[in-house]
This record gives sequence, structure tokens and C-alpha cells, in this order.
Amino acid sequence: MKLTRRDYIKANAVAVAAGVAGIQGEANASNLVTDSDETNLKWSKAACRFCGTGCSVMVGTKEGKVVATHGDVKAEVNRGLNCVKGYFLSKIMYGKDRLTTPLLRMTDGKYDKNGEFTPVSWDMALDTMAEKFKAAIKKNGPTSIGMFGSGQWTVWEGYAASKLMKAGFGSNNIDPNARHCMASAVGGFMRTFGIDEPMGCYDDIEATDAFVLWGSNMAEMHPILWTRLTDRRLSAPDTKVAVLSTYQHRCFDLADIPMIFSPQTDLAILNFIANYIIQNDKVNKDFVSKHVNFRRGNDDIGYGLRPEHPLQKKAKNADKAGGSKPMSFDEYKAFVSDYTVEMASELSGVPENRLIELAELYADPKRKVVSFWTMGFNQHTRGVWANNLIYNIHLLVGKISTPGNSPFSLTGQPSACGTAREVGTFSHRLPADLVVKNPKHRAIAEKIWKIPSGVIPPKPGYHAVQHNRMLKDGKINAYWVQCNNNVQAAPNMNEETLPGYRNPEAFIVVSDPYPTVTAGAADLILPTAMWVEKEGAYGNAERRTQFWQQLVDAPDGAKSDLWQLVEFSKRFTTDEVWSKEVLDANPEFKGKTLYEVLYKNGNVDKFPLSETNKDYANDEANHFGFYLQKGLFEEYATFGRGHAHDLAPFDVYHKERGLRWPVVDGKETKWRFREGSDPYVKKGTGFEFYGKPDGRAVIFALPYEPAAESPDEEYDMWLSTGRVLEHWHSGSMTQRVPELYKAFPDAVVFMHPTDAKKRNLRRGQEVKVISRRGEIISRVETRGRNKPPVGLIFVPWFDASQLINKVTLDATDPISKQTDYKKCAVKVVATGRV
Amino acid sequence: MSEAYYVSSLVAQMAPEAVEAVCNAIKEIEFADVPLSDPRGKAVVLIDAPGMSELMKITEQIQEIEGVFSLLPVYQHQELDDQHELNQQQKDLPSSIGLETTL
Repeated sequence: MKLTRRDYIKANAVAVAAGVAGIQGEANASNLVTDSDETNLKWSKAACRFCGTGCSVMVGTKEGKVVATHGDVKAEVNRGLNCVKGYFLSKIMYGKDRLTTPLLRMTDGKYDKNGEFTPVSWDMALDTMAEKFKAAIKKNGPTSIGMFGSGQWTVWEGYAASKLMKAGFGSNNIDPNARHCMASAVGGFMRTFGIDEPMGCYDDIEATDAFVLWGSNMAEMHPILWTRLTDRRLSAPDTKVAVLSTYQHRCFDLADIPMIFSPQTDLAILNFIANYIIQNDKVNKDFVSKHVNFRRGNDDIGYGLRPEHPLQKKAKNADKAGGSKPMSFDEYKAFVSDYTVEMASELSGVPENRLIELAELYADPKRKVVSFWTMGFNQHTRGVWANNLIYNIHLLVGKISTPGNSPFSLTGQPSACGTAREVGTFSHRLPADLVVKNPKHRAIAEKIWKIPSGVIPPKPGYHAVQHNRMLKDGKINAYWVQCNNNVQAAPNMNEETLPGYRNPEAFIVVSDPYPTVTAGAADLILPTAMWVEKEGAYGNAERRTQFWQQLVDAPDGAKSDLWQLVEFSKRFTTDEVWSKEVLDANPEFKGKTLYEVLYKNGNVDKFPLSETNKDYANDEANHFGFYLQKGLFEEYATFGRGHAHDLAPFDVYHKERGLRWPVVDGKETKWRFREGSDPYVKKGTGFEFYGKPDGRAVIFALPYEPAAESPDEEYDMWLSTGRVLEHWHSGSMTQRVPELYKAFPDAVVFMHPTDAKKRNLRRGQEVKVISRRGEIISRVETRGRNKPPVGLIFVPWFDASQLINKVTLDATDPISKQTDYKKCAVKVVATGRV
Repeated sequence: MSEAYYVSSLVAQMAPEAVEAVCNAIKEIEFADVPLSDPRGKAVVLIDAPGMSELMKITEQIQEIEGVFSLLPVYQHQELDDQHELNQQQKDLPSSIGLETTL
């Protein structure tokens, strides 16, 4: 029988699914998989473009186009599975409105802030942009330019951008959208452990006896990890699942201990658990005495609002939010003793028996426990505190760094860890956890980067929310946004973001594959290559670094972020951007372009084109004449090797399904801080939290404090925003996949039926959601996947036609500067239309 | 002549006692097949549909079969006849934000 191409493709599909399901197929099925001559498909691995889980997918290309994908059976993370977004990855690049030419606002052939978007050449686009950046620097210095990047940048894009800003322009005004997402997690790690990112890994899921979800809807946001968690729960019946949230969501289907708490009161519940452990004599005294210090953190730290806001003026420690003093265990014990079960229950609304059941999961020495959290903790005006408080609990009982005992911060974006955090694209950071304010750290960076001392400024730059405020105030005059949609994503759009972007004193550049809301608010749009249209690397939530090759060409006219950054650097000389003192002291740098200083520096251009893989295109390497990605990665890796952030050699990652750092002597590290598992832990210590000088982690005494804005008589409901399974962030990719669009086309207002009835609203009725700052029009949903309690609504933010961030408040955690998107006060009223 | 492909494979999970009934029900759906199944409660589902809307409908139908715990997507291959087909698929999507309408 002659088999057709269709037969081979179908046999391939069956073989892959059989592998995932663990079903033995017909003998010939697996042989067909590799028969690319018959299917006419070329298969290559790539990391998924969406969330921080870091699934590996196999990508099938034909005639320069991605036509098929499947979960990668060889990947430890997802073992061949996809979520519905990953399933349709092949279609994200082919939206009908892909941008293919730079667009500049012009009138009569000249740039005009109020002009119409007009197609221009790349040269004209970059020349105009360079002129604006130079003018801003000349007039107001390097703090007058800014860049907003992404946890979706590839590792080398983030690195090239950070280097351009900090080592080239001498400006720390670069921040990633990870500030909206992970900054509180970073703050928590740095404060408690002195080193960023989780100590454990996903293997904890199969090793534990209990899962506690703190403000994480894994069923929708990390579906593959949820599948693994579900498998564990069902295959080991003694496993318990506790779910805490301010509204009921899909994870509650599996919950043994379901808990709905009043917004912000998680802080009290966390302190109650610590108190319970101490009162019931369940402290692991040996662990605590050897590995833990106690400190009292400053309280009354404000809400990260503008300084003139009454709440900021009132706060006694607004300017020293991160401060703390040493304390003893007995003092800590006295501090948490106020948090009785009665007090925590009354404040949170969670029944006492549930709180005790929850506390027992942590207190019971025979039970292993994994705590997972995402935006419920991080997008919180006390987000760093919430992170510190969960570590307190794990440290008190010593349930940490061993398989199945893991406080685990899940990541939102595919490379929030790999790029934003590890590369250090935050306004206060440098690679490998170094910070700009430390002179020794700056000296290390300046040495590796081969730039003169004094180029990197010591003062941290503006953080994400501050960017929009400073655009509005005219302090940032030239601004570049890459790989994110921050007009849709940032809080308080009406009062801060849009006035900032449209300030006549600001020139805004947005690089994006699609015409997003942010692109629409820009002055210049740069059409951008995406995902497998370029060679890339991402780092996921379990410290796993993954690579992919360029698998297809970008549409004609679209260029990758990396190409744009490096090409832009050619348009500047040191004389235009560095201070006279630096140049006088280092005359050999005079007149050099930033391209020569940053990228043709002997490191980044070290690897010839001949080292690129001939089976794949590499547009950037070919354009610049050297293996740019490899050079950037290897220079970057210098920061971490030998300093507990070790990355493997570049070429290794193209062969592996990712490796978890530190990678020492070719071996990845699954659990950090434990002897025998982590090569950095000294022999005989058992555990060593080596991010701190004395090897001890810190338990912090931190109180419950109320939210920045709570419901009152007029604005009588809490608003929480978030994502839905089908859409990634602002929907700029997933809303262009017909299947995903149809699955969840428009945002809705999830509301309790009692609240709807009280307002005479029917399911499906058109309503306004109104806050003190703005309003949107949406529709009521009283059924479905999210079931809020009375007094709270949930509105997803993916929908560009319902910009919920017109309504949200720009209150941030004063330590991490991350916005609280989960709490502000709103009212819901009928529009009068059906 | 080029040919359109809408080929998908998925893994269905079900109670062991429901395997036979579920698999038979899937096989009755036009364009769907169950090439492999496991009495412990799993089956490989293959869909070779004539178009996107049929593919989506079949997936929904399978999810609604009594006894199906979950339907996990694994493999998807969509190769369209021509650009017209892609335009048809995308015609119901929201028009692009419109570069002028943001403000």
C-alpha cells in the first residue's frame, strides 16, 4: 500500500500522542516520526513563547513557514504536553496585520507628534530616533532617556539592551515589564536569601505530600504544571491541596482545603501560621539555630504613590521601606503572638478550622510541603513582605531545599528569570544579582564590558511605574519600548500612561510585531521579528535555560529587537554620550561608536560566522558578520561563572532541553543551598544560604497593614485583574489566533449573582466599571470559571477593547516598586443599554 | 495542487471502566478516530478535519462525552490551501487596534 504525505503526517501525530500517553503503538509508528522526507516537514525544538513554565515544543516548518507544533516528549518540563496556547503556537506569527515597515508620525514629510503614521525606511526611522535621543541627552543628560523592556526578550536581547543603556548611554533608566510581574519575588529572595530565584525545581511536584497555592491560579496560568500537580494528587491519595485566593477559580476543583480570604489579609494568615508553629512547639530548632537570623522590618512604609499623595505623606517609613533591625527569636515569637487563629479568621473571613488545617500542613513534621505563588503575592502593596512571610514559615520548620519541601515562586513570563532577572535589566541591577549602587559591582561590570570606570551611574534609574510618571512630568524625553504592550499593561492609564506617552516633550518608539495599543500611542513604530524568526534563549521559573535556532525568516521589513539595538548603537559616538571627565581620562575611547565599544569589543565579536549552525538561518549574525548571539551570551556568562550563577557553554544549550543553573562541571543543580545537591554549599554545613555573608537566611517580623484603597460607600467593590487560560498577557498574539479568540473573545466582569441582583443587573448585561481614575464598558458574567465572593469583581486585562488599566490604581510595593493590580475600589453600574 | 491539512492528535483521559464506551463514542464522530487506547484510562485521539471550524467543533464534542476527564492537545498541523483560507479564518477577529484609535 502506498502511503501518502497525509498518512505519514497522521502517523506522526499518533506516534507523538502515544509517547505522551505512554501507550505502546504499532511498531512502525515511531519510525515514521523521523521520516521527514515523506512529511516534508523539518522538526526543531524551541521554548514556548508564552508563560514562565518553560515548556519545550517541537516546531515543524515547511517552505519557510511554521505549519505544525507538538509538545516535546523529550522535555522534562512538559513531557510532550501542551496547553491550549502552546497548541496553537504555530499561528501567532501569521496575523493579518503583521507590521513590515517602520511607521513615523509625520505631517508634510516631517516628524510631527500629532501627525499620521507614515511608512519610512529603516535608515530614516533609526536616524530620526538617534536625533531625538541625542537631543534629549544633550539637553537634560542621560536620565532624560529611557527604555522599557521585557521578560519576553531573549537572553541576549535583554543583555544587549541593558549594556546599551548602562554601558553605552550611561543611563540606568531601563526597566522590564517583569517589574509588573516578578519584582516582589526578587525583593523577597534578595531580602531573605541574598540571592535571586527558587532554591527548588519542578521535581518538587512529584516529591511532595502537600501543595499550598497562595494567590496563584495555576489551572489557567501554568496549566502544564497544574497537570503535573493533579497527577500527583490523584496518584498519591494522601497528598493535600490547599488553595487560597480572593475569589474562586478552577484550582478550587481540586482543593482539599479551599479558602477565600478578604484582599490583603493573606499577611495576617501568614503570620498566624508562624505563630501556630511556635505555639505548638513545631519549630525545627536545630535548623533555625544553625541557619536562620531574625530581623524586624520597618513598618508603615507607604504605597509607592507619588510623593504628594496623602497616603505617602502620612507614612512614617516611606523613604526607608526596606530597612530592618536584628531581633531575637523570643522577640519574633512575641511579635507573631498577636496573630491568633481568632484574629486571622476574623480579618480574613476564612473559618478557623480551615486555617488550622492549613497551618498543620506546614507544622506537621511528617509532611512535605510545596508553596506556590504568583501574582496574588507579587502584585501586592506588601508583595515583598508576603514573599518574606512565606519563607519565614518554611524556614521555621526547615522545610526547604529538599525534594518536596519548597517555597516556590512561579514566574509569569517565559524569561522573567532568564532575561529580566538574571541579565539584570532592572533599573537598579547588573547581571548575576549585581547592583548599580555598589561600587565594587560597577567595577566588575565595567571590567567585563571593557569600558572606563565611571560610565555606569551609581544611582538606580526610574522603575516601570516611575517611567510613565516621568514621561508625564517631562523628565524622560526619548523613550524606547521593546517586546511588551505597556500602555495596555501599566496601571492608571488615564492619569499617568497616556498623558506621558502623548506629552509633546516626549518621543516614543515602540518595537512590536503587531499594532498594539502601545504602538498606537507611539511616535515611531518599528516592525519586529518574533519568536522562532530569530535565534533565542529563555530562562524559566526553575532556573532552566533553553535555546532555539532561527527556524523561519521574519516577514520582509521586520527586524529582531537584537538587530535594532545593535544597529542603533552605530549611530552614537562616545563623545555624544559620555562625560568629558570620563573621556579625558580615557582618550583612547574618543570618537568611537557605541557599536565598537559595546559589541565589536573583542568579546561579543569573538566567535566567527563559521560557528553558526549551517542548518539554520541567522539573520543577525549574517548582518553583523560575527556570531553575535554567542558572543553576547559568553560575555554575559562571565558574570555568573564561579559566582553561583554558572551557565554552561553556549553550544551545549542547543543540544539539551535546557539546564538548571548553577551548571558546574557539566552538571545542573536541582536544589540549591543543600549540601550534596548544590556545589556551592560547604562540606559539613548541611545547609548554607550563601547569598548572605554568614550563610544564614533571614526570618522577618512584618505586620499586616491595609491596602492602599479599599471599597467604601461610593466605590463599593474590590477589583482584581488578571489573565485567562486562552490569552497571553495583553492578547497581542493570542487574540490573532482564530481558535483562541473564539474560545474567549471579550473580557467580562466576573461577579457574584447576589451583587448582580442587588444592582438589578442580568448576566450578559452591559455595564460600566468605574473607579476614581477611569471607567470601561464590559458585560456581566455571573457564571463560568471564576466565582468571586460578594463584594469583589474580577476583570481580565487581555482585551484591547476594554482597557481595565484605565480603572486600576498605580499603588506599588514600596520596596519592589511592583504595582498591586489585585486591589482597588470600583463601582459597577448599568449603562442603560442591553 | 496544494492540499489543506487540519490534523491534530490529543490524549483523552477517562475512567478505566469507561474506555470502551468513550472510544466508541469518539469513533462515531466524523473525522475523528482512536488509533490507540489503554485500558488503564487513556486514548490517543486523531482528528483529520476538513477545516478549522470542524476541528474546533469535534474537540468540543469529545470533551462533552460522558466519562472524559480531560482532553490534552499534543500535536497540531495546519497547512492552508492559500492565503484566502487564512483570511477567511481571520475575518472574524477584532480589527487591528487601529493606530489612530488608541487616543
